[in-house]
Amino acid sequence: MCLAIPARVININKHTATIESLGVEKEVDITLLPDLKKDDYVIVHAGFAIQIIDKEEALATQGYWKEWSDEEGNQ
Amino acid sequence: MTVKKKYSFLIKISGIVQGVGFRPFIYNLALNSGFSGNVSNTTEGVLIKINTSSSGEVENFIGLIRENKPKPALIENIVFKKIPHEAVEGFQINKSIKTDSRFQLISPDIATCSKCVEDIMDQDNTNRYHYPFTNCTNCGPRFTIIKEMPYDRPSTTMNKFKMCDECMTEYDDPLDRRFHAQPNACKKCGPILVLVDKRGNTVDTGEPLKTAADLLSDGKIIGIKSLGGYQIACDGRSNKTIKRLRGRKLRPSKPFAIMASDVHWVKKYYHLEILESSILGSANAPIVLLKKKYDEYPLSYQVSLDNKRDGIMLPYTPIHHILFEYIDFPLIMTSGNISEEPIVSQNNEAIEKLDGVCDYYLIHNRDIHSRYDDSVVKVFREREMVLRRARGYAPYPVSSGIGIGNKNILATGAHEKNTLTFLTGGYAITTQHIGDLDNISSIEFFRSIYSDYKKLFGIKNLDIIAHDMHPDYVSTRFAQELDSSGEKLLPVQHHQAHIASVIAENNLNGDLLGFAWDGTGFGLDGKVWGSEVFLVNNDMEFTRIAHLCEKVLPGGSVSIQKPYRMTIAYLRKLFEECGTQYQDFKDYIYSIQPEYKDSIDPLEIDAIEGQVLSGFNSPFTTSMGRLFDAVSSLLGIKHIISFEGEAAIGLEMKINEKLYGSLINRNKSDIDKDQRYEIGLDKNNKEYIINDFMIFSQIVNDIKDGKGKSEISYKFHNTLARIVLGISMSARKNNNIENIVLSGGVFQNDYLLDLCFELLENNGFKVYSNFKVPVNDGGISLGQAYIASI
Repeated sequence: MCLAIPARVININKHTATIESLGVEKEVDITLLPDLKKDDYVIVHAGFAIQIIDKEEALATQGYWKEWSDEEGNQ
Repeated sequence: MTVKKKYSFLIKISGIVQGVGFRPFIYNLALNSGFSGNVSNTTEGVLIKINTSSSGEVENFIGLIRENKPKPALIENIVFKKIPHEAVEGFQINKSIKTDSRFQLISPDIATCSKCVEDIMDQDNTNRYHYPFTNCTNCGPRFTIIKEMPYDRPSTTMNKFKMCDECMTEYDDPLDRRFHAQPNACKKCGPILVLVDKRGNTVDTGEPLKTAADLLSDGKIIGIKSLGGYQIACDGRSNKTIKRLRGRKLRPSKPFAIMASDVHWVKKYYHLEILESSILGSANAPIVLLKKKYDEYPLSYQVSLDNKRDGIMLPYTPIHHILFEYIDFPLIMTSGNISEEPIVSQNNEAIEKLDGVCDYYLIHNRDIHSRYDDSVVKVFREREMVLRRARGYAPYPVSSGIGIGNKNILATGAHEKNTLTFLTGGYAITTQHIGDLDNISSIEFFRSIYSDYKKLFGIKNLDIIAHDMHPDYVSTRFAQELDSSGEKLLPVQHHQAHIASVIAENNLNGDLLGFAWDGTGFGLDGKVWGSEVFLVNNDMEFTRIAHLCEKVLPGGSVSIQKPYRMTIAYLRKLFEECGTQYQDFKDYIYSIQPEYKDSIDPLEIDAIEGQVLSGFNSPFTTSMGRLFDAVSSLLGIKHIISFEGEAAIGLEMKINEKLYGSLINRNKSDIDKDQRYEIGLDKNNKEYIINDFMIFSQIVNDIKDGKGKSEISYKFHNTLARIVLGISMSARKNNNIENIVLSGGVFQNDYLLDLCFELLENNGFKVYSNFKVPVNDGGISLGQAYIASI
């Protein structure tokens, strides 16, 4: 069960990166992910990027919600 | 001169038309209209035989009845038909025919009317000036003093007072306001009020009410024997006095109700809609939850702390009116009881049980036969919503037309805020608020209400006894006691009962989607449910389709008293998946909620962790209430509660609509993504699982990003409303659902319920919730009874 929110990496700094999620940009700590690259998708929790995930997987977290909520083109 | 031909008509009026001065009202109306005939009370209501020149005149007459009826009367139905002509002289009030009635719709207890207030304040009125037991056919005690039916003085607690000649004359005169006023009394012949100290010794004063008022000004706490029981009064402005009351009543933070002198005072400090104002001044005189204005707060902060509303009522007995003649400040007017026990109603009981709480007592000798708490209501989207149903509302039926033929059904309700419901003669009669069935006094009260209602409504045998599925509820055990064979027993699932109670209130048909969100209820699978979503079809078959994740309730009910335990349970799950960057679990927790470092024993954290991982001594729960609790403690709002729902209420009160703009009444049909959290759904074989860990995780992120409590609470509430909308939209798509039901204690949350109604209605749904019975567990018995009737 996915508990953390996927975000896209926009910019890599030394120990942090700028990520974008749901239209909001912020800084996260990337010490756990030394091989991180720009445009990777990561899951973020409590100010840390903790895991790199597949782009497909990232977009699929909506999963059943899309099927349920009738949100056409609302993402 | 042509004499107009006369016809005779029979008019039948049903509703609350007895004990409200209806017959004298009709008598006077008929005389003024120049009609001959008669009026009488029967088991079916009021019957009028009237001679007029045309049916048009009868219709006009009926129009006048509706317009001018006595205030406490409630007209359900008026029908008329032509009957064979009976010529009579003049108009007469006939004697009541005492038949063996199943039950009569007598009015519930009525606030002192304006005419009686005039009598009480009139210094020239020798019999009734400042007389605390003044009443008339339009006001005064009813069910609180009735021992049995029919409603007649000898069967009330007034039977020990013989009326003096003057009172007797009033009682016999059809034109008098006190005609057949069963509790009629005056200084010479009626009950007496005295002021006593905490030992019960009479205080020597010629004016007990004036002395009491002086004592209140002096910061004393006084027990007042009111209509439905004892109330505890003290100065609503004094921090010191209220803190003392809180200490004595073992009530650290639950808000107190306030009695204000008049509606003008209320208008100054509270928002007051027209309906709110009219309910305040109504015959029921409940406590009305009103929004504070905040520019100038006239009470001590200790009254209701951070709550956005106060419970306000106006004087409703002569004692209150007279007291407010002497004081010019608002009073705390709270139930005379300790903790969640029933309101005290007997004199010696008061001295004994309230010892240590009250400094003095105003007591009298008009016995209270049935206890009734003050009712609590709020106005929600321009409708009255009853949150505690008691004095003024019970024991009037909550609904009618439920087809069960000659059967009698009893539903014993749940555990907290218990009520019973009897279904008989097509009427659903829900008892007044009984309370939490976790102490001897409440259980005794429960038993006595059961017997009283059975007697009052002439119910001889029971065909079905519905009860909650929880095996250990007192109410379940009681049902089993009534029928040891078990043949009549019908266990009803808690959350299905919540939804059924809304269906019963509204006589709903057809398929619908029901949300039952609360703190606790025994699930069909034995787990602790609380966030249930059901599809309900026309045959009242329930299909569970969604709920929150199942998670451990560490150590069982101790986690209800201590929300921080629930927070830790949630965090343990998050830690598993996302906590790799932390040394250990405790580091993780302390980095998110530093308050836990100094206030929770690390051993307890270990114990909780153990329970979460092993499930030892801990049931599984899907409770929405626990999610609220966990978020509340996570944000540092409430870690340990002193009354039910305190943590969740604290979370709701953090929303600052001025900061974030109100989403309500703006015709919004959706919530922007940046004003809520991302929602995730999973699926097991049968149901959809709403991923509340994912929401919790985003809240943790927001905390780390430095977002404030107000914003987080706002987003959290918006997320839940969006979930309600999303699931409803899917049900419309897949199952053609148009009707949505919202019930359960979580929906006492103003903001959440309002936003859900707003979003759903703006998307074309019809939304229903509990308005006549409480949306909390006080409404369960009605739902149980309804399901039993199918």
